[in-house]
Amino acid sequence: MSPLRTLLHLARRHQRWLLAGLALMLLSLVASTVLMALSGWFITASALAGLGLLIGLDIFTPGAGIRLAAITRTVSRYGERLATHAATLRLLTDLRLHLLERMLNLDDAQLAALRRGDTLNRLTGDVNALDGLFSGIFGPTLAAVFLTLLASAGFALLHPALSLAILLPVFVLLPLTAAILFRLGQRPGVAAVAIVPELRSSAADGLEGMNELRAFDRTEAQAQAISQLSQRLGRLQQRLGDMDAMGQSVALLLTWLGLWLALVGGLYLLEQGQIGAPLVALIVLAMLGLGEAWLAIPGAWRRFGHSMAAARRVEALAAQPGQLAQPSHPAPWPEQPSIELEDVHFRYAAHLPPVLAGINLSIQHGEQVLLSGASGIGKTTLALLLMRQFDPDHGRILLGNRDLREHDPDLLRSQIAWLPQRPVLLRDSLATNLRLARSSASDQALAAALTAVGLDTLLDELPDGLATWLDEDGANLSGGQRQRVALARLLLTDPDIVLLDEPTASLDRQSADTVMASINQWLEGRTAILISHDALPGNVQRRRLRL
Amino acid sequence: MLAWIFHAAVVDLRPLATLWIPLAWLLATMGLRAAAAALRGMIAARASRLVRTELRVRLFRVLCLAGPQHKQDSGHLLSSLVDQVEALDPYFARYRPQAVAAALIPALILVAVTTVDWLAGLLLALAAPLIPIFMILVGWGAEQASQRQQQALGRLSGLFHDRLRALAQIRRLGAGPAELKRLRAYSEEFRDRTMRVLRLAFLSSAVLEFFAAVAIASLAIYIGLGLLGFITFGPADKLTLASGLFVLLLAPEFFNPLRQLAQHWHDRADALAAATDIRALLDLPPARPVPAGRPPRMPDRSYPVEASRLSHAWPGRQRILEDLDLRVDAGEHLLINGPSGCGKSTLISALAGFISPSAGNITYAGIDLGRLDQQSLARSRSWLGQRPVLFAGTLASNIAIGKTDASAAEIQKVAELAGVDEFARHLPLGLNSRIGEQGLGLSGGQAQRLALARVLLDPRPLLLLDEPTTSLDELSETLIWDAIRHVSEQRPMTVICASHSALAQRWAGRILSLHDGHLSAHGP
Repeated sequence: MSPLRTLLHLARRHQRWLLAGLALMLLSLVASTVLMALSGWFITASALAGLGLLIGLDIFTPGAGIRLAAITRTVSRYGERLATHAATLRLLTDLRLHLLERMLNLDDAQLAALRRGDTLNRLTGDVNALDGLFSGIFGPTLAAVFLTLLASAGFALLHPALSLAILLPVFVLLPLTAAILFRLGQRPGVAAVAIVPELRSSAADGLEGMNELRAFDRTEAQAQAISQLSQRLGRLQQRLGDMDAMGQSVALLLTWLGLWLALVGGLYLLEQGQIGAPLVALIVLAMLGLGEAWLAIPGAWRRFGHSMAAARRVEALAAQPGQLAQPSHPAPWPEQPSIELEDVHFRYAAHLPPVLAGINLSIQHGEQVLLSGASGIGKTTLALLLMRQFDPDHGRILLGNRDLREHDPDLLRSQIAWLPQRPVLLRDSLATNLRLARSSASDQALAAALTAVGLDTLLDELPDGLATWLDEDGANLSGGQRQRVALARLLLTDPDIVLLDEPTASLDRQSADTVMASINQWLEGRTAILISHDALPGNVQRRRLRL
Repeated sequence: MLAWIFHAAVVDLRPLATLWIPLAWLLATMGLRAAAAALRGMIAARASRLVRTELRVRLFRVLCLAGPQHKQDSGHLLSSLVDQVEALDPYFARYRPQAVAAALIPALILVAVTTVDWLAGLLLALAAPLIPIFMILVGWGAEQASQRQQQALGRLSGLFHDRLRALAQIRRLGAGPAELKRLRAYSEEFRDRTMRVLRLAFLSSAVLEFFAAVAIASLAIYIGLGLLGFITFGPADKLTLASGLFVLLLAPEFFNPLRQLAQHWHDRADALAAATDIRALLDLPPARPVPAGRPPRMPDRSYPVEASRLSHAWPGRQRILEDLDLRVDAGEHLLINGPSGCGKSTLISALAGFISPSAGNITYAGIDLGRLDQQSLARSRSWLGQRPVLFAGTLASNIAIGKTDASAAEIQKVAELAGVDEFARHLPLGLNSRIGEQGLGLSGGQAQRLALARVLLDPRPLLLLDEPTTSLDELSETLIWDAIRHVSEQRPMTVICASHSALAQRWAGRILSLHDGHLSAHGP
């Protein structure tokens, strides 16, 4: 149960909030039970007194008690909701930051795998699935257990046999139900979670390939495929829903069984003259309050299986070790980092054809190389290998005459600047996105970097200037603007080696000229590999290489 | 029942032994109520499943008919089709049944209580006019609360998602610790704001709780005092222990459905938001009307294609095709070029019958395109787009998508022809290798060759090509033109291709330029 341990460890920091929530939850349950029990007692006692069977009934104390319980219930329930929400928000924040911190240690290949397909969505969803763990499962269960213990202790004071009425159905059978539901719910729950990506990919195929499907008259076939997956998912969810309904009913039935036992027991004791009638009413109605506390518990534990599966997946992703070997004694960063590839072979997976087969290449320090070649030939792959996002299958890459694998990967990453074809922008302000490169950069420096890539007009147009918020993946910028923002960010760094992948691909002629002029100036004295389909503007002497 | 047994035992002092039958009845009633509750949950789950499954398929069909005209990005459509349909589940499974219960149960209880003791009924009824107020309170408060809460969770989870996506970049720029700090600050600021709203919003349900508790408490006290004989007016002196207990036991049940409804309120808010989006999509008009009557027989040899006075404008945009006339002879190879964004793709889409143009008509072999249904269209023409979509499955299953009963030998032959075999040969499983989502592991050129094999497997008399070679290198492009030429030599095809590639000009029999919505003979 190691994923749970991580959570519990994080939860300890918010003990106060969680405990407060728990205490208030318990208090509101106690108040509501007392309200019912006391009312029952009061009415019965009054009836007997009215019939002259009971003399000297004090009507004010129980009346006040009832009112107190009513108010306590309201106030404590309000407090409980606030406390548990605060605790949940805090806990989720901690969990997310904890995960991010640990994932910063993953290597790039693993991070790239994370971005692929559904993984990222699932991870985000899994973390969200953990929000109900304390407020929805552990909290109510603990509160119900405490309440039951309290009540059975109280009953035992009256007569030990009475607490049996509670303990047997509630303490033995109810947890058993919860456990059975937990077991039963696990398989369909996991299966349902597994179908969702399948459904998503089938729907994505259908939407993205709509023209293909229409051209071949296959839309109905795809609709059927979606329908089938949808139905499989629906049936699993229905089974889970059925389980919840059954669980709730069983919980209801069991607490009523307890109530029935308490009634019979109470009446028997009454007949024996061991307790008074008002007390029997108190016991019976207290059982009703108890039932309320237990009602949602079995269903909550059914969902616990789901939360646990989510926690396990999160843990598995966060805990995976780096796939690339780390050097035990990293080599010092070379004075003159030259790059040499010796017979490099690489393929992405054993079942895929090789992308690079026997590449030899030598680049001197300070040299600038223009790399071109047909699409799919492996230009980008070569850049990824240089940054050690992958290791070659065969052959080696030397940096300053030392194997790339001997260098400290963090140092390597910080000394190699990389402009990908599709740079990632954060959902944050423009300034924050730029300052990722140099947190100390002044506003003037940021504006200068933007001017260098020809975005000074954009900066003037933006309503909030540098503080303008960028949407996810810079969706409120054009493709060319996105790329230039990423480039401006790069210009703020000071690396030894620079890899630019199609730096002017989505730019018109004029912007391309501006950008290349700035890039050329910045590149002076650095080793650079520029990947491009065609010649780049500007009259800088570069060695041309074709793959 | 419970109350009656209790009364019998306590007041009438009947021995326990004589009460076994009512006690057994009590147990049976409890069982019945529990079974009914279970049944209700199960029926709700079933209804929710049926609604969602049906809705999803219907939505997909509507989207297919509407074609690409709605111009919404597929990510958004995907989330409608998968997530928003799922978001309806809690609404149908929980909120709707609860809403019915909340309307019915308090009314029934009120009737029951009033028949026993009208004053107690009055007390509850006094609380009842408050119910609409409660509903508004619940609606307002719970809606606020749940919206804020969902927003808070959604926004925090969005931040997390965003940073995870950019993690490699963040680390490369050495910004890891600073980003963590920033995220914490964001989260804390956001949490404080959310909690301030929640503090207010939870008050509304606290008010509901308070009224419920006060009503129960005052009922208890009223009944108690009535039994004591302190209240002499009204029916109070007729109260017995049984009726008193009866009323008291029903009182919490009077408020429970409302309380539960408040808990399910956010299900409603979420579902309403999702339903609004889905409804907008369901209302999309089909891209071309479904033809009435039997589709005519189409020739299976190459035929001429004609378009006259064709105009088209995408919604909210300028007209892109204007009074365009075109005649292509049977077996002709026509190339249409022009700058990007000039409407080449629109023209090909119209000729393929994917969209129906705003004005004008198109004929295949003299037969109006509007008379062909999707099936006969699929048999009369094939189409290859600029960025082919590959489906989850094997290379072979992707080739055979238009002819699912193709033999392995047929597939192999066309794979060789289209140059698929050239790279598939290196794979251990050959054509049976699985390809991942969106052609993962295949380069653009390889995917395009696969798509070509797909249209050449069972060649149709008309082939429409929309920029089939953009972003391909010379070698792949030559291969594609050669394969098309080879197939059309064996079996004459009318080919219409939109492309600005230089290589295509060598292949074409005739070249036209599309400019300002018109076609003109290719200049010098």
